[in-house]
Amino acid sequence: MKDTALLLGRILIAAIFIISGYSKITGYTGMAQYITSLGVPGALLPLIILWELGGGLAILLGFFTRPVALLLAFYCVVTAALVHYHPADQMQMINFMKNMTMTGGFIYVAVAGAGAFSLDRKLKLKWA
Amino acid sequence: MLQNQTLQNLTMLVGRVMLAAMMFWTGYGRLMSYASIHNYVNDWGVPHAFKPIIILWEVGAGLLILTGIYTKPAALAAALFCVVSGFVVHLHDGDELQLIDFMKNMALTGGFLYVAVAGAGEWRFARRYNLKWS
Repeated sequence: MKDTALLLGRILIAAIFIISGYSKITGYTGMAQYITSLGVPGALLPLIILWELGGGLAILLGFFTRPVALLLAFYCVVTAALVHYHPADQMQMINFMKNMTMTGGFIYVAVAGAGAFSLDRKLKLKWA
Repeated sequence: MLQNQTLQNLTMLVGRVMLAAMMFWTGYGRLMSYASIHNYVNDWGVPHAFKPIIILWEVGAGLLILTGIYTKPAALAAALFCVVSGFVVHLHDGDELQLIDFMKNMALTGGFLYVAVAGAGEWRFARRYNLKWS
């Protein structure tokens, strides 16, 4: 029961990263311009894609779940500060809060781990 | 679970604060703008009569998760809220920004599910009463 809930939680929390990482590949040029406009060098885009897509897939599969969850928690804070922090814009501030909430979720993933249905457990990886 | 108890309790507290903040903050915002005709709830086609329930749902779940009292059922309630509001508010065909919001709601649901499984940790209010499901 618990392990099923953890698996479901991992699927839900990983989906947004897999999808947005993938859409950054398909819309690479536009995204490179967008992040440049935010003051982030366009050359960092491959790293960002790897972070999102790789991190999302690792959480989904339960592979090195705890360290990856910490990396994604950090990512949520950084993107919240860079992209969504516009105190006058209520919609952006809701997104800012949502990013903080996702960070809280990842912190919980980092604490609780992936549960039984995961590569961590199958491969008996450290920190599983 | 982590090896170091203090570190684990601290992390769970930080996680709870971050997860609860949004629920509490948006619920409180709705309470303060209760009478406003531009209240969000109306724009979504949700009947006015639901407003108190929505506010109680958000503020209540937020406060319970924050304080660590009955954390697990409160986290389930918050997860359900994220799913429902994701479908009612954010799912519109062809609107990519709303779709991102929808996906975020699903991610929040995943986070709350984790809280429902792991609980609040040891740093919570009313711990000496040994409340169930906290």
